[in-house]
Amino acid sequence: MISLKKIYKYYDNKYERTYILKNVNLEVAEGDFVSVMGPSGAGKSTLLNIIGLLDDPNEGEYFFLDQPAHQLNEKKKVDFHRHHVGFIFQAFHLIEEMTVYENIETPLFYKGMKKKERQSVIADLLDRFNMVAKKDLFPQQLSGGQQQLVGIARAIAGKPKLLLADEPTGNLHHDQGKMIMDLLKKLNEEGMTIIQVTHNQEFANYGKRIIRLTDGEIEEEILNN
Amino acid sequence: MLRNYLLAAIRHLLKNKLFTAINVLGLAIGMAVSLLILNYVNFEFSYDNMHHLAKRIYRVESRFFEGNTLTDDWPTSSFGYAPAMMQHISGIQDAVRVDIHETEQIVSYENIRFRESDVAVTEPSFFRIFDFPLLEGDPKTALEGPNKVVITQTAAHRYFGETDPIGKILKFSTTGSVKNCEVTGVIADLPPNSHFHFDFFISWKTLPDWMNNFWYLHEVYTYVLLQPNVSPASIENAFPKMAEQYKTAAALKNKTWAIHLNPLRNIHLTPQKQYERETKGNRNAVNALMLVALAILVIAWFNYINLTTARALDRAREVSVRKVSGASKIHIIIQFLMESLLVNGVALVLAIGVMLVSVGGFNQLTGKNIPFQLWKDSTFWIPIVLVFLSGIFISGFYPASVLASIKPISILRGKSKQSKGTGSMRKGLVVVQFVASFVLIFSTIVVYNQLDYMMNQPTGVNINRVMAIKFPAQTDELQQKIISFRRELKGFTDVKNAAISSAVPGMEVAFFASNHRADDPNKQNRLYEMLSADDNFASTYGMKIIAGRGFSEDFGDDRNKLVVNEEALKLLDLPDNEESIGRRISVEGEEEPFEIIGIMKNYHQQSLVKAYTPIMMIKYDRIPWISPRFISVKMTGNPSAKTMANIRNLWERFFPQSTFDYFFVDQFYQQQYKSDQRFGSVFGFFSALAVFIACLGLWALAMYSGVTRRKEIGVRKVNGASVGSIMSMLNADILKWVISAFIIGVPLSWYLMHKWLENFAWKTALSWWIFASAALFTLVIAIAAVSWQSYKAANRNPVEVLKDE
Ligand SMILES: Nc1ncnc2c1ncn2[C@@H]1O[C@H](COP(=O)(O)OP(=O)(O)OP(=O)(O)O)[C@@H](O)[C@H]1O
Ligand SMILES: [Mg+2]
Repeated sequence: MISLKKIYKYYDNKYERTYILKNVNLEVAEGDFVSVMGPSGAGKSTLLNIIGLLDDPNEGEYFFLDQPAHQLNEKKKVDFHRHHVGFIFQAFHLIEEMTVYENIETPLFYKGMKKKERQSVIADLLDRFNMVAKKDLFPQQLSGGQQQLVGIARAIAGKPKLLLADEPTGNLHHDQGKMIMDLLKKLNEEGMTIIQVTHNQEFANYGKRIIRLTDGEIEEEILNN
Repeated sequence: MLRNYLLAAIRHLLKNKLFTAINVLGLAIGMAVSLLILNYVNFEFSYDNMHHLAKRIYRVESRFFEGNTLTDDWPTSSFGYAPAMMQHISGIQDAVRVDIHETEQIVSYENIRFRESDVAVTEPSFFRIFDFPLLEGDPKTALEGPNKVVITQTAAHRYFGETDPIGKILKFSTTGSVKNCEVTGVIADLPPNSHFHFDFFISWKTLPDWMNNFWYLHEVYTYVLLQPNVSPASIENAFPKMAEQYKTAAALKNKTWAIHLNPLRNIHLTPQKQYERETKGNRNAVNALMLVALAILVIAWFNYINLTTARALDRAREVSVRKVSGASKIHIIIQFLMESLLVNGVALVLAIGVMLVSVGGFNQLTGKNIPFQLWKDSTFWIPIVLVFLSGIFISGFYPASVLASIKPISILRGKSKQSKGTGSMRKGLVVVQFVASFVLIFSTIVVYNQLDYMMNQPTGVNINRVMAIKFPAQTDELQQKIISFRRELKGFTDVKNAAISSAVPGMEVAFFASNHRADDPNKQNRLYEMLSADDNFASTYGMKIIAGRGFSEDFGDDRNKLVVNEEALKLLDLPDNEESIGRRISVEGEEEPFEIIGIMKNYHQQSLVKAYTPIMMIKYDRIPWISPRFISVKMTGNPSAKTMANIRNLWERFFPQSTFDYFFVDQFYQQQYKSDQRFGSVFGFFSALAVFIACLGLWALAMYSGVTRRKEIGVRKVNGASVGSIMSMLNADILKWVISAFIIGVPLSWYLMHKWLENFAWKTALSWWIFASAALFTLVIAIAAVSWQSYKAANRNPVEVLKDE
């Protein structure tokens, strides 16, 4: 599904070039669950953003479902976000002025879904995440774990093939984190491809593969049976 | 989707109440003002559009040329133009003359008697050319034959109350004649946006026959209706040649007699000329007000842009999330345009409310009773919709596209800095607002300075405590009675002097005569204003005789004598000293030349808007067509009620058939500045509003930057910075902005005000102190707007702030 070939990312200062990613090669198959680990500043988020088409590599090729994703124009990228990928963030990034229900509804709008359809999709999600009673609350009225649940619900509402999660548990207590990870695992079992970044070894172990990134290079890859 | 956007927008707006309030308030004031001004402007442009033939109607305005130089330019034509044009120039379908040579008459019906000032004489074609429907009477015949009159409803009510006016006889008296006219028609009062407002239309045949084709009295307005597709230029071009055959008299023989066809609908906004019956609109004032309206709108729009982009960071996360959820740029732009629509919509509703409430006050300010044309007129609605849409677009589009181009990556990582681009854009817009504020402040000062100058400059005449009584109507032995009346008036203890004249200061002298020096072999005729007066006139008004003498009984009857002003001497090419005394001048229509006996220092017969005009003074009883119209009474103190009663009683004794009408010359003189004063207050008021809205925006921006720089301020304070140094740090930008605005604003305002001052013959200089005080004022209010917020920011307890982070 994802194929990264010789990806380089760097920033040019006045006199020197700082490499964030160096010669990253990565294959991710459909249905995979990849955990990315590594020290702060290693380039984990950068890698995830490139995969999510929020950032462009300076060199190298990126194929998504055999399409050259590094060549996509603006319109195709919007399509990509609309149909193929969902994001979960460490800081949740819910829209404060909108209720739980409306937050989850957002991506469905952009998919052009009809109202009836939206209602049933959201009802299912709320049901699944046990949030029916909270659907009219605003994000500030929820706990961190609940907010991240909403974040996940929003990310998967459009049934993307790929879920990108940058430290989804970073702002959560351990128990809440575990709950989120269980949920991700379940989603993966249902067929969703997931790439997550985490600092937590326990949570990394939820993945089928663990990739260790140091100074922009893939240092090692551990298969997790 | 729309609902989602709207909800987000509404919640966002409600969450940021202060910003929303400032935006809505600014926009609402801006819109209300522009709507009011639009209504006013629309009214000014709507003049004379009630006639369905308006596009083909022109007023024939006379112009005299010497060679290629335009020497005289009047809105009137002579009695003879219209018939001659109809006869000799093709392309004219119809013509009508409106005689204004005696618009002031005493009108009476039985015991009801008023001095009317809107009496015209006109032809039956009047009702063919203009659409003034008759409420009673037949338009075809109402003005046929002599001694008929068509009157307005108001006039009818004044004389006949509820009874039917048709067939009643009204008596019209002037100092020279008495006519009885039968009321044959009643029309509705002329609409306020007509350029003339007569109450009485006497039939043309009532005039003496000799007038009908007379070419030497330019005291009618002539309107022609051109045949379809005839160009006015062709008529104008044909006129001078045709006129040659009618130039039988000596007067103005050396000049080319030309005409200008002024399109009916343009009359109101073309410059005021002599012989113009009503105060016309001022295109400059209209333009200036439109500019102010635009400035206010732009300032309010820029506030919206600035406050929205300044807060872009607050919205950036939302935008980013929407983008990764699949929103395209267009989605985001539409969303923020919706928000702008919402703000503008609320503002518009408020604005319409404000406008409805304040339209009365506005009319008071402009001195016009402008009917509220909002719901009637598409020419009003279209601009509203345009203003509204362009407001949404201008204020909404830039912030929307700024927000739409936010890169989610920068925000979602939480590392974003305000992008540099919008910051400098914001500074640019603030500078533009300051330029507008500076120009408006500057202009307001100039306008008031000019007004003050005009009103306080010595006029050269003493008009204080002078009461001008209007002349009585024709009676037996009018001449003797007037003289006795004057003599008895002078006998009153409070009365210092009394004089008879054809004009008083503050009005056009207006009787033009084409004269030349008797010793001029070329007989170069020029037009001079003829003022007829008695011996007391110059002393009553304190006019200075700088050489020779004024009229005086001690020297006989001064029959063929002239007292002229310096300006007239200039035109005669004579020196303004003793040498000119005794020079002989040949006066239009007079066999014997007149002799100059005195030179009068120039004085301001009219407001300082106008230049000195050449005036020649003759004895009041010398030339019949330059008849006296006023008795000026100079009082020793403020006239007591008793004196006034005595004067009135005296009048009743001498002139029981005439109404007693008077005015005080000083008030009358100041009246000339009324429209300028009104313009000053309208302009000043709206400028103040504009500056206020700009300050509001600045204040909010300062508050925002105080908030975003909270941490920086906290750190600085912990490190020992004083409140003063932090405030000056926060205020430093303002100084830069004001200086930039000053650099741009000075040439701009100089140019604009230089142009505006060109309307005045007597004007103030655009001196440096005006620039300096406008700049200082701009700076002071800007700093005031910002300092409040800076002070708050600088005084916040740093511990609190840093703990928060
Ligand atoms: N716009 C930029 N210009 C220069 N350097 C950048 C820019 N964006 C990111 N970097 C640098 O790239 C490196 C990798 O950043 P990245 O956010 O990918 O790290 P990370 O592995 O996610 O770290 P963390 O675990 O702290 O989230 C960092 O050293 C960062 O400073
Ligand atoms: Mg990271």
